[in-house]
Amino acid sequence: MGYIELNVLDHVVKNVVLGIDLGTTNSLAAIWDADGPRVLAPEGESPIVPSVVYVPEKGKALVGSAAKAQAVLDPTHTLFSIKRFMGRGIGDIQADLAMLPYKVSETDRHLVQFEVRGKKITPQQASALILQEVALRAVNALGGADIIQAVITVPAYFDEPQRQATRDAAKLAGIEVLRIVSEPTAACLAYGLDQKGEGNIAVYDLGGGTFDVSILRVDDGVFQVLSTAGDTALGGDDFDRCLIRRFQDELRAQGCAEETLADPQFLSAARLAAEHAKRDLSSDPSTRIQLSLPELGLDYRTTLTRAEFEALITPLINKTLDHCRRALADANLKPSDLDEVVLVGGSTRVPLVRAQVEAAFGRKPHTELNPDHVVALGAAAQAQVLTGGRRDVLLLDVTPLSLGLETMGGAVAKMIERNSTIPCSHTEGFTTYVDNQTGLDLNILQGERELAANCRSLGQFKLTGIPPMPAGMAKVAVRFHLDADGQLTVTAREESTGVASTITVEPMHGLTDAEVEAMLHEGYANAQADFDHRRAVELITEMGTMLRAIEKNLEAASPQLDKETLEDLAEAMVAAKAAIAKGPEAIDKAAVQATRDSLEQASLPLAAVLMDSVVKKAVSGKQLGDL
Amino acid sequence: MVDPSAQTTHMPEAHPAPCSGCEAQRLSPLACGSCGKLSEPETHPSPFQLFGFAPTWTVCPAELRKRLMRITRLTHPDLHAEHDSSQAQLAEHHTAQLNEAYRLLLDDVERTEWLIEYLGGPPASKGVPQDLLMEVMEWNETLDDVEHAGEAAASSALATLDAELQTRKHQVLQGLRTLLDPLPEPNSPVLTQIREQLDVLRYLVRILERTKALQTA
Repeated sequence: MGYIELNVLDHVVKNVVLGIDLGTTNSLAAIWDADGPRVLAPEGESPIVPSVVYVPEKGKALVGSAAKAQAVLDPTHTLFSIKRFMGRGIGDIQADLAMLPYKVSETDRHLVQFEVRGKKITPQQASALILQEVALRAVNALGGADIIQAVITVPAYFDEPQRQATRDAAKLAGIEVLRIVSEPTAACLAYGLDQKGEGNIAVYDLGGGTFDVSILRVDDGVFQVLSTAGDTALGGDDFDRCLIRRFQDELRAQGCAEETLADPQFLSAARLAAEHAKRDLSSDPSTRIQLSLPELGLDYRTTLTRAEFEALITPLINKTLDHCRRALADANLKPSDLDEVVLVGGSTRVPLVRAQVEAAFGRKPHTELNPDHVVALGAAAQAQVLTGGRRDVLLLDVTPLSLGLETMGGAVAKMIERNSTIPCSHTEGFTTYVDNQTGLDLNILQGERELAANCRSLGQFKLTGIPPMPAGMAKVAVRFHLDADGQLTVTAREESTGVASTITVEPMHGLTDAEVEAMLHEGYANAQADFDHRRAVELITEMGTMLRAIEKNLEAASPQLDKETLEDLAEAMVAAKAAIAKGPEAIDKAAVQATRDSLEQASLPLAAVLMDSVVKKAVSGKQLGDL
Repeated sequence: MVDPSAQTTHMPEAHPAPCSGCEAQRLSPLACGSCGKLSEPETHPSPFQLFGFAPTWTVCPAELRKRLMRITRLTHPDLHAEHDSSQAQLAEHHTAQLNEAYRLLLDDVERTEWLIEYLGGPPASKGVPQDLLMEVMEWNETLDDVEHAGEAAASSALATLDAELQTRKHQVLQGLRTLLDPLPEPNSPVLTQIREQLDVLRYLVRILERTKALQTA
């Protein structure tokens, strides 16, 4: 990716194999090489890239924390929770639409797309930008690479079109996907539960936007997912929504206009405030919330206790526990059969979640690893296996939904049952319904319902060339093969003549190869220059945020700062303002980075004063830029 | 789906011919545990043979699972991803075949069906078995009523029917075990009786699936 090391005498193509957790809220990459497993980040930076894309009026899209910062300032041009829309149609996401501050439409292939500044952006394209950012940061941390291969994780509950959309996104980002792995499976690997001999494991993964629970069995290093259950539209974001609704209710009671409560700017600010409150309440018994939006004439202050928060989210947690019971029942296990419970996802930091999971499974869950890093580390472990690095671990994945064929009268003939271990195949005989029928239409379905109309169609094809014969005489063998990567191939063959027809299912929700190709050539950011540029834009945005925070607090804190500190700070602020004025087009990344770093350095004493002062409570655990 | 009282028996071993590459004894015809070679695919292998067992009606789930893991460790595509594409394809094929056979062996209906065919027994009869017809109609009527009344999970009629069907299923399985363990001679007249019992079992399983769906709805 434009990052070729210029060792002309002995240039070996350098290939890196990453594990990537492409999350609803955050994404990150990890590697498992000779130095062991670790998450990757450029020096001094967080490995976590918020899964947010900002579309500016002109120039390249911003990705990650810079884009997240724009969510308040310019919400209608900021894309978040993109993963919720991967491989989905508008009909699938009705509940989400109301909360979104941007427009969503549908392509003629029934694919959701975002409409921002007149540009149409598919979730695959937006996810590609995130993947690219994650991969480039990781590669940067590793000192460069020519080829990026990756194991990418998805919720165990993701269906075929959603997995396919993830593959498409990686393709657009120029990343070769070695395998799509389910997140809970990866989590077990990260915890090294393959070393446990044998046992049953429950993985409870409550991320930003998705929940899933999987029951796994491990025997001497072989993992098998016995069952999975979950909800692709339930997560920590919903905790935020509970809080937003509470803010709205309270404001409404105070006489606030409905218009204001539905304002995109209000919704974005409320979302940020909710996220902060949620985090605070994981450690503190209560938190103060302040929403100041002078443009909307709004200045809202409230206090929220942990007990109130817990009452709000209890129905959501109960929903997750229902799924836990279902997963256990599907695996034919009782809670007492479990040997390990693993918690994954930032939302499992919420104390009530931990307590309820412990109560439901009757076992203290693993929390040793950072719940935000677990999945990426596990993906890196699987990448190790696939590149021949380790032979002691084997993941056996299952298909999350049943696959079948539509039969006469709109019923479904199940070919591969939900929770079947992959790879698997199944062949079944079908026949003609009317005399002299020469073709057979095959409608491939996914889902648990008994009627074809209630299942999702993954594709249709026709077997032609059946010789004319009385109804019921033709013998058509239909074979479903689901490969180790979850890709479905269906073959139909008329046995007397050997006429055969095959399709590899490219779901209607996915992109055709031609579409992917076209998008690749649209050519956003495939070079280091673009990466540097984006980084410069990000740094400038960050400096702006820091400057605002400094200016807001400087006057109050200056009596407690010595002259030298104040002079250094003033100097750094002038430099930062100059850099911002020049804009990212005119200066290079290294210079902006240096200016930003000096500003941070110069503002440290100020931050220290603030920490010690009356606002200690409000800023604990935060950087100045968060204020 | 498997009779729990069957868990203590040992399944009869039947190992395939030694590896054509290194002559080592093999557990499964799919792969050699000694040199790692994957064999060429067979079209219709016996599901028992794939696991290194001789045909038997009584299976031990724990033993089968252990075998599945041992053989999967040799065949799984992830462990052949670095090899050339023909090996990778064989790995894909063999593992799918193994998983399909595992599912079949643990399914009482499908395992019995396979054994009947293996022993040259009669094919499945079309339609509901005569002596079950009235009962099937009655059961379906009860289920239709429950479905229309709603609140299926709390229905006592459903619970009663479920218990009755479970008992019947257990009896049929006991009967099948008496007839099939040890396995009868090929083409034995007892296969006709086995076929009748299997057809009954198939209906019971189907209706039990419906009761389960209603209970969890």
